[in-house]
Amino acid sequence: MSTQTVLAGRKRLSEGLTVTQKVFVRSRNGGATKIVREHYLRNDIPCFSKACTECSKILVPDANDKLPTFVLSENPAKLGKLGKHYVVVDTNIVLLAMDLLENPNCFFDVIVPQIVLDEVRNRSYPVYTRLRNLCGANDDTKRFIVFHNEFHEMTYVNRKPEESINDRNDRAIRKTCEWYANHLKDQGINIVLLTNDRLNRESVTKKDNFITKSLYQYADTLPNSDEIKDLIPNYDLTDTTNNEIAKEDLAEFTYPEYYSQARILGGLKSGVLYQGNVQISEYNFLEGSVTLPRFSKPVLIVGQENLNRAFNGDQVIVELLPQSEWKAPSSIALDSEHFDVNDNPDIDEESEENVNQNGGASIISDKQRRLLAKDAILAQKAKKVQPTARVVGITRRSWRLYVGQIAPNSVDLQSNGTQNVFVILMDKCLPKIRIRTRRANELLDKRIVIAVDDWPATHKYPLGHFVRDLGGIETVEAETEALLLEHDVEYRPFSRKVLECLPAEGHDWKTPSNIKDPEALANDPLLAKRTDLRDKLICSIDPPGCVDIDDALHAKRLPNGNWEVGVHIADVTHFVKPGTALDAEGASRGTSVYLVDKRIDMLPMLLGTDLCSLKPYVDRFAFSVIWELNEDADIVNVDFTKSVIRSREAFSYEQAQVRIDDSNQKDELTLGMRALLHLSKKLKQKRLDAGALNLASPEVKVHMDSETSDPGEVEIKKLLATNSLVEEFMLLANISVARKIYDAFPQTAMLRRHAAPPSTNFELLNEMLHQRKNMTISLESSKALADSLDRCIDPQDAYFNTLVRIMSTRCMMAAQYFYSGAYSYPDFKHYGLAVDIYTHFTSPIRRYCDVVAHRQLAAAIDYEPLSLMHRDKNKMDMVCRNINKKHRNAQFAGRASIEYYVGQVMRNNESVETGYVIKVFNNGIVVLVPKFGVEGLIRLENLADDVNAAQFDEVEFKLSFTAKGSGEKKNIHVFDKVEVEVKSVLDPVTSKRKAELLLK
Amino acid sequence: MSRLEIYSPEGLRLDGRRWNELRKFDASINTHAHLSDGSSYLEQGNNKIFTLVKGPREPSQRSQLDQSKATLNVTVNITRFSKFERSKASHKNERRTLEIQTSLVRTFEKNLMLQNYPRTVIDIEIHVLQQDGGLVGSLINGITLACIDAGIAMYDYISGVSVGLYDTVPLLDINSLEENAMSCATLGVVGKTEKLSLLLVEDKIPLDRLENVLAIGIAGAHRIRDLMDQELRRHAQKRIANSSKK
Amino acid sequence: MPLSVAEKSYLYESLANTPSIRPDGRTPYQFRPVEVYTDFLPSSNGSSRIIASDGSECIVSVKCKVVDHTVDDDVFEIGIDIANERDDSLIVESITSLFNNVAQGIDKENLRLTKRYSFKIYLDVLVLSSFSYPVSLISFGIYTALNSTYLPKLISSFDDLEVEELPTFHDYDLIKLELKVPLVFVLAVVKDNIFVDPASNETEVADNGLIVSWTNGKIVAPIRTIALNDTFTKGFTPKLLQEGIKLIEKYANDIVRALEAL
Repeated sequence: MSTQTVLAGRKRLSEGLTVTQKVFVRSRNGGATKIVREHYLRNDIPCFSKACTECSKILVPDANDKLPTFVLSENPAKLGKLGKHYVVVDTNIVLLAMDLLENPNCFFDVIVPQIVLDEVRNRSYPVYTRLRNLCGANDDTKRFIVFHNEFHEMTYVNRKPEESINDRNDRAIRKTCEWYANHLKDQGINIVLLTNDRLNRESVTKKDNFITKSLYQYADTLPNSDEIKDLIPNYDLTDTTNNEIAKEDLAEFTYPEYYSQARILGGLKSGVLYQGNVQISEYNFLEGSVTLPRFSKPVLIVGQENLNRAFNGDQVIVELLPQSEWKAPSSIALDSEHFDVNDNPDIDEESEENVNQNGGASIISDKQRRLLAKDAILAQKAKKVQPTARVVGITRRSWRLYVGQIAPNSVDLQSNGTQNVFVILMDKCLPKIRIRTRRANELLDKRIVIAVDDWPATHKYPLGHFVRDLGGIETVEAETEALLLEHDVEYRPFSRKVLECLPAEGHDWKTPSNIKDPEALANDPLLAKRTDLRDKLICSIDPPGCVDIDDALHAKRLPNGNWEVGVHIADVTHFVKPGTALDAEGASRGTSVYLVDKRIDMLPMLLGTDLCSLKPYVDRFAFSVIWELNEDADIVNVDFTKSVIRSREAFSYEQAQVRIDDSNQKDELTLGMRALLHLSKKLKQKRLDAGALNLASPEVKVHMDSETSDPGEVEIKKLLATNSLVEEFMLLANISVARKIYDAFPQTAMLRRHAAPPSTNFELLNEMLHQRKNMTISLESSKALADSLDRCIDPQDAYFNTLVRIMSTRCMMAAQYFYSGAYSYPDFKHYGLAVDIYTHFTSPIRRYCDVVAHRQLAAAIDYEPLSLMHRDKNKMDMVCRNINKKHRNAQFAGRASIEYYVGQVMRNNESVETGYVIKVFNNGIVVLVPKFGVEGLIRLENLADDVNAAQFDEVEFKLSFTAKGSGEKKNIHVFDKVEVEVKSVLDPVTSKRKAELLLK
Repeated sequence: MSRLEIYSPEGLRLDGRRWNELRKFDASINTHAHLSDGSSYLEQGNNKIFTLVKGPREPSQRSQLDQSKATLNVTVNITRFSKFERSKASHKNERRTLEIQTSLVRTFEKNLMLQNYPRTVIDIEIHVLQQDGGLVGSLINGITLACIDAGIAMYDYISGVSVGLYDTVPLLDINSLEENAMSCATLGVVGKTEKLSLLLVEDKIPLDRLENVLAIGIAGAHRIRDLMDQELRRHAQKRIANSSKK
Repeated sequence: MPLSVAEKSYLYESLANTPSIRPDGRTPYQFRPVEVYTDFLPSSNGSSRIIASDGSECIVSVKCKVVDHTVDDDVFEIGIDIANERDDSLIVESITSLFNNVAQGIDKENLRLTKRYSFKIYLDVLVLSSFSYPVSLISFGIYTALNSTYLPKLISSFDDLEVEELPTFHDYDLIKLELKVPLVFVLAVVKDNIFVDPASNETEVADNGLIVSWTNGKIVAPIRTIALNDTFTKGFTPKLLQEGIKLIEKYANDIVRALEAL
């Protein structure tokens, strides 16, 4: 044993390793458990500086026998008085200014103490992930490292008696700085501690061997300080040394304070407070609702004061208001951008409405509140007036980067200094954000990205800061990037690390021509398990111009009269191996995103459009599902195998249709295709008989002028029989695969489900249908629903049925990915397709779910063992959550892109079109125009001369008014067919282009 | 749980150890001379275990009498306060406890020279005062030490350790946090050999990774064997010193 | 090892003598030495390990939980586990009931957190071995374990009846528990003599046994007689009871001082 002295509470185990105990209290749900963990301290943690001569002697290899690489530059940047220096960041800097840390133009050679990393992880997991990525980048540009100060015997500090944990952690950070400063003294490298915590800065005295700076002070010393300073987050009162920012007038508008943690936990446990996600109404940004398991309908939250700073999507704690304050869902449409337009960003005045309307609410006791909850449930069963609640706490913010533009009327055009301006966000459910910038004038008419930093109770609007300028409003680049950002789509090019995972041969990669070839087998021992299907007459059928061909098909009559049908799917998992950077990137993107003029790939082009794509005339690896089907398209047998195929032809839907219809074609390929068509019709009929739904969405397609890439015309999507041919076999393959992987992995199989819609979703639609057309939609089963939809026919109007289908679609639940352990078998059901189990298997190039399904199927047929990643429920849960989110975002992004281009088309041709009224409000109507697939609100002001004379009939969904101009009396009902003037206008306040509809 | 850095990119575990490092291993023998024929107290990490060996002695029940060899009984008393949260129910007749007892009997039956003590019983009584992961491995170490203290003839040391597999990284001598986060295997290794007298795998470990897991486990068990050996020699030296004083 | 009839008779006679002669030479009020270690189980809130000179050993752990005392008023639970005895054996049950009785005497106010919540204390006793009746040993163990107990520090407010709050605690700070539980003494009666802390050979010949509890300078319930062995049990005069009580009143303070000096 060593004779070295060991500090109290530590026990030396061997040279350079001591152990101590960490004691803390875990209070969860009101409990209080004492927890003790061992904590080992060591002396072999290197400083990671290339300048250091000592640390290379203490290196220890990791589990993969790799030695750590040194990252910090031996010659770091020299800055004025700071000299050559490394930066140590404090937690508040990371949480506040992650964007700045990621900025390629500042912050190099940064040390992140472990305690900071831990604190960041506890406060915000996404920021933690970004920080970790930055530290793991390894590309010698930013040079960030994590220093495990908590495990280093020289930098670990014990908490002093009575010391708060924050103070202890701050001391640990300072100790780390001190150690580094000492350690690198001879190399002439200074240490700068960057913290916005004034007390932490003041704890460092002249005696100390390192320097501290606030973010602002540090930015001041940078060569590009003007540019950087603009990007500094706008955090209220965080930097009291900066007098300019600190002089916030505190007499501003105040929101109610949030409840304490103890109060929230107690309230949740006893059932007087509830937790849920806020959904802000699409039509009224001052009205939100929270879906709570205890209530059959969402609980309303009305007004700025009651929403209490909640953003759309935040996870909040709500408390019911007294019954006298319950409200009906408003029948008023209200946009944030047109509300309080004249608010001055410098002086937040009192809002006129809702001031302290709940002054008395907090006096009622929890016992009374519990009774209130019972009344609330009863009231929901009755009509109209809804239990109304207010937000008393926010447990998780949904804040991300937002795209918007500066509200021109908030800018002082004369000023060239820093000023407060409002940014109006593209998402109209969100409030405007107040930012400080010096470049307000320059940024007018630009799409800009901002981040939200804080929303103190004393500010009417949240505070944020400018992040990036996307370009001029209405330019294609800016708008496309904006919509990708808005929908959280990762569109940056693939990183070098990801591209390194691709085959080195690139486009020259070849499928081995002989799969028995010993040399090829040596390279890929799994080759022996592949089936050679190059003799099958396989072809692919896709939309015209398709380059990423996921699937191909073949059919052959068997001697016994049955059909052999094969579906061959691109073998993506041959190239994308679990645990690689490529896999991680695919998993995080989750799906490819299709915009009108652009595709954002999930996997690099090389795979998607070449090596994996089942192109004709070349050998490709595939994953094949081969059935034996009888004449009625019943499955006699199914087999799964990895294979090598050669597609004979790549057809477009139309070409395939032509070939099938051409009775002169009698070759085997065509015969196979005819058989496929024939079988697919039977499959479809069986599906419909089982109750599969045929829903509709107002989807349109924008034709691009191929030369100018200007949008030409808009067309409603058409379907051919061959579309349905491919679709049916893909469904069949997905179902067969789902059964197989569920059988092999009952707990973690990657599946997709679609829940039956709750009847409440259809209440309003059914009421409207009943009132206006005397029709109903039955919800007994999907079959009943499908049949009742078929019956919703207006003999005078062929489009009416489609309209009902569109509106029904909006009442349905969204399908979701899940792992089989998450639900019980009966809940696996896919309601829309009317099957008991389903997954996605057929498009691994563009969906990550399919990649997982491929791997699980490969393991199920003993091709290769399944990665632990896909056998672990928690990891599968994370994968599912992510791809569900990405899938939804991709859909929204696609729609937004179409909407933008439709707007561009309409801009050039104003016209009068047929529209349908789909919603009637107190102060306007919503009209859907099928031709453009757009819908828009027509405000009462634009309908009637005298707004106050208009009458709204809630029961009949009727708005009566005297029409503008003509003076004629009009009654508008829901479902009415109307002629509307459609034009595209640029909103002067928000600079957003949208369809403006006017009743003709 | 999954949000913790079980194994950081810098190669450190939650408690600051590297992948191939044992926890603190503190053992002493002959701790309960009054109560038993052989005893040991073991602290492996935050596991704290008393092991008492009583015997070889005459069986109290005739049914336990075996003409050819000694009967080995192991009772494991996992106290209700051994984890952070006090458990509501006693662990005495839990299935898991019975399973552990059986596997311990199997492990030591082959290693103790029971044939030397026919018509007797050897009772091993274990009290787990505190546990923090890798329990079965620690129980094995405690028994080995107590049996040596009791002077029961045995072929070799048996040393136990648990190894977890985090993604692809095997982690030696896991604590309870790690145990909950990954699948793991417990090994009982005979002396300095690569022979296993116990292998418990309670979750899935891919076959292609098992070899790695076993390799690091065996290396760790060998180190534990040396630590036990040290303690025994230290203790013996002390005894010799004491007796020569008299 | 059981004593022979002759040994027992010799022992009885010498104990019944005036002045009595105890086999180990102790005076009637003298306790045997004990070794006590506290706080050796870091994952418990308090703990002690107590070893008597004859090798009897007992381990006590104190853990806590937060309970709603308006629902469950029972905030003190004792579990006793004696090695090699079944949980439902007579000795385990009688000792458990004795200590539950002792626990009636504690002041539950000290465990109050808020108007609604209290700490509930779980005392687990593991008797590794006992050569004499283990009640005193257990009692000393419990006393020292509680005396080394630190509980989480409440940081939320005390009044939670009107506005329901879940108690929240400081992440690191623990506060010493101030809770005194009565000490329990065993006395052995041999003819007209009475002895504290009887050793195992003494219990074998004792006419009767007496359990006396004491807290804060005075004798408290429960006071019980117990049969220390199966063969010798006889009655005794009330005078002896008073004498026993006096003995405890006189020396208990010294015991407490010794236990608290740890």
